[in-house]
Amino acid sequence: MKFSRKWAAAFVAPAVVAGGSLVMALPAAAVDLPDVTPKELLMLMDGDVTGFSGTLTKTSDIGLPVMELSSLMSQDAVDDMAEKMPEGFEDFVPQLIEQNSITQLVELVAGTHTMRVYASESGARVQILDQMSQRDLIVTPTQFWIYDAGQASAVTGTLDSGTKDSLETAALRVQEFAASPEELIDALLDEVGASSDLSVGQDHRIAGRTAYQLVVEPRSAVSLIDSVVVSVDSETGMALGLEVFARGSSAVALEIGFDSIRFEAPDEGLFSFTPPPGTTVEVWEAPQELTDLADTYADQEPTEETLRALADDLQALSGSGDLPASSVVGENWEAVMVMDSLPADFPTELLETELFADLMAEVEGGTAFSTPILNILLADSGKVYAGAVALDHLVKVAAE
Amino acid sequence: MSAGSSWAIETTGLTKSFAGHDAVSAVSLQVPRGSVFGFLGPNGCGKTTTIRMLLGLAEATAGEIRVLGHPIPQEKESALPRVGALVEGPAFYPYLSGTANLIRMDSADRFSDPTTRKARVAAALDRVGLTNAADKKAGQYSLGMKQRLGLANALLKPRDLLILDEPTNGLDPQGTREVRNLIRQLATEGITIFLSSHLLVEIEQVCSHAAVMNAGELLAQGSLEELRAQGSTRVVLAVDNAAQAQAVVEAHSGGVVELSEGYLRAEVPDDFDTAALTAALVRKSGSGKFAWSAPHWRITLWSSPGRGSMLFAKSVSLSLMLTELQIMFTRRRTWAMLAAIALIPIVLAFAVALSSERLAPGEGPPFLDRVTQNGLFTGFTAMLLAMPLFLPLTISVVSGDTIAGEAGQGTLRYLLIAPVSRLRLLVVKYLGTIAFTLAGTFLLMVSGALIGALLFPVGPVTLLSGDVIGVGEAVWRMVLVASYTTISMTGMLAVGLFISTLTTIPVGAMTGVLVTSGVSQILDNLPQFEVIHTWLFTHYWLDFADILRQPIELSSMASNALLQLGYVAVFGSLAYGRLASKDILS
Repeated sequence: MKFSRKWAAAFVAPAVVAGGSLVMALPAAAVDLPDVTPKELLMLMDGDVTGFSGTLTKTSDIGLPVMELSSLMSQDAVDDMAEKMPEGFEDFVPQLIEQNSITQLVELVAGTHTMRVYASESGARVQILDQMSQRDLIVTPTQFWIYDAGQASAVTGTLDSGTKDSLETAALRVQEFAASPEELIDALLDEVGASSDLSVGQDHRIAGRTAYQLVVEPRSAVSLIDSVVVSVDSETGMALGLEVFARGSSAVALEIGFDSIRFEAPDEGLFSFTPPPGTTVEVWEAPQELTDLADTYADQEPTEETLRALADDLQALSGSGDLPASSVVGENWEAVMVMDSLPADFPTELLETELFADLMAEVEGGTAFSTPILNILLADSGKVYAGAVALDHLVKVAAE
Repeated sequence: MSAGSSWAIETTGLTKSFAGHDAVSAVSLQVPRGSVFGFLGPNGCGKTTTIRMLLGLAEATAGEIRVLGHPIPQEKESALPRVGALVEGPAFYPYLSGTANLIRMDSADRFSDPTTRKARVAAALDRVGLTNAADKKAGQYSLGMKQRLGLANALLKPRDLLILDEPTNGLDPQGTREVRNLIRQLATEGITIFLSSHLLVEIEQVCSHAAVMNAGELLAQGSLEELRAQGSTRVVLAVDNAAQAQAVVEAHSGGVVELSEGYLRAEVPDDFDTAALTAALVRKSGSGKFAWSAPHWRITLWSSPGRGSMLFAKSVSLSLMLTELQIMFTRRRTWAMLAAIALIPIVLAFAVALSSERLAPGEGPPFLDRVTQNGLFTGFTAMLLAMPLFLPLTISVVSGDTIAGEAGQGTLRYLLIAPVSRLRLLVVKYLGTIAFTLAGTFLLMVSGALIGALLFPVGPVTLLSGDVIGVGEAVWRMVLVASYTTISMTGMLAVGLFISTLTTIPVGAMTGVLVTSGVSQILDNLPQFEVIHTWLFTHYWLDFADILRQPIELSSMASNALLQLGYVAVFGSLAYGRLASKDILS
């Protein structure tokens, strides 16, 4: 009797805490929005959002090892560790891989990130909140900044007035071409409908708002993607979340969505950026070919032919810079990107580490790197095939 | 005046079992008001266990207790303010003065009047002759002085009952005489005195009534006249070696009446010399532990004038909290830890200043490369370095010490019989640890800013988002970081408070707390345990960096505060459950 009374608090408090967290974890009252067709939903998505600020979380479960881009380890420290590690424990020595755009890309895709996004008509700012560090991307109509607090470095680029004018003209022409948004959406529906099933899924709540679900399911038998689910805000039509499901798995492979959002134009001050003292600033120059291309197409009617020509010209450009020449085989969900070689700065040592061993497999004609939503084939010929398609399809494409 | 019972202490069938063994077995005591009641028995016979139950420190397995008419433990908060006690020797905070010790104990009693506190403490010290040593640290007191300080603690307020457990234990003859004189004097004031002893001579000298315990059982009790009226004088002896003692007793008294395990009962002539028998026993074998008899005592009856306790509003008084802070910040250990915390940024700043190499941006631990450009970053970098191990280490020490420390040094029992409610004690101890954490985190930031300003240029601070803020704004962010860190620690402090209620060995509790923080940090770094990551109390520790963004990211702060609150609720109530149901045996 006495025992239970004194311990009552000890039982009640955990119960209250557990109950409270359960209530918070449970979805709030079921959402029931007026029914819409996929077309109506796409029309809704065409709505105008002039400004918002919100926090996004991105998680992925695609089997890629999470690379800790730890700044706490130096090469000296790693060498020291390798020296002192007893025999047989060499595997525990961390491997330092020089960071470049590709490792950063892998890190962005593989890890979990929290981002803050601010956008209005005068600009946009994305902040990736790393632990003890931060990366910022600031874009205004005339300039962009990429700032990395950990490295104290920044990259900036400015649109010269000529290019800016060309882009504005192009945008105007596109608007004229699409006589009404409905026509554009009909065209989109035709295009997507040819390869996928479109449907409206469960009404739900995301970032504290009610939302529709647009579900896109590829019809292709070789696609690795089971479905792509877009959460659409029921009021503004803004996409609030995206989930990618892989074939043969009920878990989300890739997910990005708002945790919170406010539809108010953020403080303008967020879009002006001055690199702090001590920052290494690199100025990015648009390649001449690209500016030329922009100038060329700015004056042309955006018909189907010109768009196709633009795509061809862009592809022709791909071999000229840092990236190897590439082409695309197949359409829609079955598209396979073919590159003549691996990019020059690809960290091949990355593939040799233990972390990646589970993802690599020897297949006919090369080595395959597999994740649930992406397969890459490093062919013996040196060519690289990549696509969200089944591995045997890649092998078949490579053999042709 | 209390409920109209004529007994100051009355127990019925009082029993206490430890692991199936009865330490006290069906004891029914009746202590008349106004008596000087001797409670006689060898060491380990259950006297102290009985006293612990009388004071509500331990819970009876069976039976009932009434002290001054109030059932114990149900109404101990009504009874205990009128009871002064010395249990199992005095216990004090060695680093506090005699006066400060008594103020602490008096503050624990919610019903004692804070306005008269100083005067009462001075009077109590005067009464036991410690006025000259009042400002000396209790740790420097001699054994006799400690014993007298213990008596002063029992006499802080007008009492109706004094329970004194072996008050002359360990004293030299002079000290013993002084204590006995004091007891006699108190008895003439009409206070009921319940005096336990293993020494017959002590009982003979001061008591009017007596009870004899052996092996957990009550052998006899009553006034000396009543005992004498039973017929011939008897002597009861508890002995180690019954057979050997038997021979000695037979030689002295002429025949053993009763012999049972551990004690002898003998009929003796009226003029029997107990002292001679005891001496003979000790001489013979060293086996005579004690002897009790009913010799020729003058029996005086006193009437109890009765003193009502002064009742004070049940408001949460600040005075106990103040003494808690005094204890926390008088200890050299606290200052040593704070000094070490303040030293972290200093060592860091000198290491950076003396190093010939300048770190490239992004090299080394976060922020370290900024320190040379802006001294204000020293505090942030030092906080980052202190967060995984050093800060948790000091937190473990103070939170592990909370209850275990009081229990280990014996002051817990005196606080509880002051009486302080166990919940109030927990809250005060917990707030004390938070005060330490606040002091530590702010000191770290202040020390970092000062040494940084001394060794490096100070100027506008670059935030993680690339924005630059002025020095004034930077100081404000430092305050936020220190506050955030303190909040981050509240969960661990609650875990420490709970672990501290599990043991009476402070070092054990401290180690336990440190281990939990280590385990939590390791789990937080293992991707296999990702599901529980956001439930770990260390999870948001390093997110104080969110304060260094523009705009400040509030979501991690909110999540952190909620998580810590959950830990405080769960472990706070576990600590209460444990402490409230615990027998205080130390």
